[in-house]
Amino acid sequence: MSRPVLTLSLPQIRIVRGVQMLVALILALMTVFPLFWMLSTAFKEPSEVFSMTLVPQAPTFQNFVYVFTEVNFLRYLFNTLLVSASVTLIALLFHSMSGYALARLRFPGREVIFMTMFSTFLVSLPVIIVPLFILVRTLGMLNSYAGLIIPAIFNAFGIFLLRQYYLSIPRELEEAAVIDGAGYWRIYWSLVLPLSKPLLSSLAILFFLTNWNAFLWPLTITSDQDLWMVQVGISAFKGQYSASWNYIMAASTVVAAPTLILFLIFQRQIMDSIKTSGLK
Amino acid sequence: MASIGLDNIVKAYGSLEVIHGVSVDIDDGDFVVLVGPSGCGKSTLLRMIAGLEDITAGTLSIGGTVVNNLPPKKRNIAMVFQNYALYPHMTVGQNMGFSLKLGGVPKAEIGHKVEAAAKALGLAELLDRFPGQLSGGQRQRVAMGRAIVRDPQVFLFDEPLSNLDAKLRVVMRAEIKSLQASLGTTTVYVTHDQVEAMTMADKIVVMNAGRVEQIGSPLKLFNEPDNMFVASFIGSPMMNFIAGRLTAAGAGPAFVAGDLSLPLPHLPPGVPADTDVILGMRPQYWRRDPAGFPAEVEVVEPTGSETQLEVSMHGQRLTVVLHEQLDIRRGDRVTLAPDFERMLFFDAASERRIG
Repeated sequence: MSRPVLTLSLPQIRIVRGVQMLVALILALMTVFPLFWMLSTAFKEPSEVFSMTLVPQAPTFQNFVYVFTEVNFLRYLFNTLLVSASVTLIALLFHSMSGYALARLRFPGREVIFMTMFSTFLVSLPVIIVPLFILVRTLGMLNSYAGLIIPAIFNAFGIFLLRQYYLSIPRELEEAAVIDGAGYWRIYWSLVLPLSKPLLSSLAILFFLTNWNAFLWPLTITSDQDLWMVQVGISAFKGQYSASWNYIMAASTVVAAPTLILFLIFQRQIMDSIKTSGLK
Repeated sequence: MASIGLDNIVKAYGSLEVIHGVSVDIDDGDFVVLVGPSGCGKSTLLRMIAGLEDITAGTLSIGGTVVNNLPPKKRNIAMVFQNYALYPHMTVGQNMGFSLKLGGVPKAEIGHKVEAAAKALGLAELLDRFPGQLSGGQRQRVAMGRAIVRDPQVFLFDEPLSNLDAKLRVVMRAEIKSLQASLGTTTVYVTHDQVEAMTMADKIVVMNAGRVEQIGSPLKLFNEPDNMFVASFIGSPMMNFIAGRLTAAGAGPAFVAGDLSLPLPHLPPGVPADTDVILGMRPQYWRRDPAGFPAEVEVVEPTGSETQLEVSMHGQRLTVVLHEQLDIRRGDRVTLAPDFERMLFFDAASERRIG
């Protein structure tokens, strides 16, 4: 069956392309402008923060110096890196194991367990934050790295994606490994894990960025400033009646730098992960 | 090397029984082909031998040891899969040496064995490549290399040539056969292609709907099929079947089907006259004969040295293969005579061969 074809003349095609590019340009400017504004404000004097100039009249590094000297921002960066990296590594290990088990092992209640995990997608963090806080307090993990790391590991998203991926791995590959003498653990470690490298790297980026930008949970369970993560640190620049926007923007620039670098290096994987997951 | 014994093997998924008590004895060093249409249970049977499927009932022994409850790795078997199942993230060398590595064989010995197998299969130059960089035929060889490097008791092949093009299939067929002959390893080979079965097997097991229809050498199955299923499945093009009746009145014994009356030298031994039968006649057992039966040509398929015809003979449509080049067209008339000694007769009700 032939599909109806919309035939356009060359000038018409040019006009359509022009409109498309214009729309893309407007969207790009809308996305990039806040970033430029952040960068610009980070180099402005406090008196100039609310002026409408995009380029600072007297660019200064003082805001950055303040962020690193007057506030323990390096410590916040270290905490964030430690928590993000730990959550990413541990979560990927456990998510891939449970994803594999849910995809391949036969055990009673498998579907019920999977659906229960899946249903947690419907509940967002603010909904469970109070019971989660009580749980973590009962376990004695308030104001600790464990309190920052462990609750962040449990997340159905990675398990769901990995399970779906493992379902698509040809069963013959695993059977060949069984014949070669491999058990479940060896198949998981030597076959399944290497085969899921592309998805694992996409998930690693997503998990890392999510935890790098985590705010609500770290704010809830850490009162000790030595355990603050960067987003909590940045929010501390805001008082009840005023906000030091120049410091906030300088700190935000520092925090955004690693994510920008990550994005530049792993652009393809990030795009893949967004395409694979259908989320961003 | 080992013999394999399947004794009354049954496979059921819940209440659904798919293999209904199969018994086959495979001698040490034999090349046995399990053949049958899709869904007949041949791959399931192979997977049970491999240990990839549980056996519901019956006894499976390899080398005289009952292996029903042994995991695959303890059965000392190697298997080549339809899609090769090469590990995509490992090089050819790593693929071939994986089982030895898992078995704790020293690295130097693995290297030595892999190199020897690769040399035998013409893969020596490809050891550092990944499966994705190989052609279909090369992947097939790697899969075989992975099997032979372990020096197993039994080779299992699950339709290993079905993903190759026709030309390569013929080449690989010969390679597998000569490899098996040189190694002398007992081999069970599954295929749905009866040509593969005929050309490769020492012994063919024809399966249908979870049962064994017949076991025998390729020529035995071709010449003396037990029933119409085996007769129709083995041989290409398919055997012609004509439903009719044996008579002995008038001019002597004959097979009569509508307007067609074929005089016979004698009735099949043990079969009385006036019996409803089905005549089975291979297309190759007709020849052109001026004194034969007239037939009208409906389809002509020249294959070079042979000419395959679809003809209509007294209302019966027949396939005929003549071992000659013919300048013949649709609508032409030919006279054909059968080789009476090659005629097979099947009971019309049970479809079992009676003569």
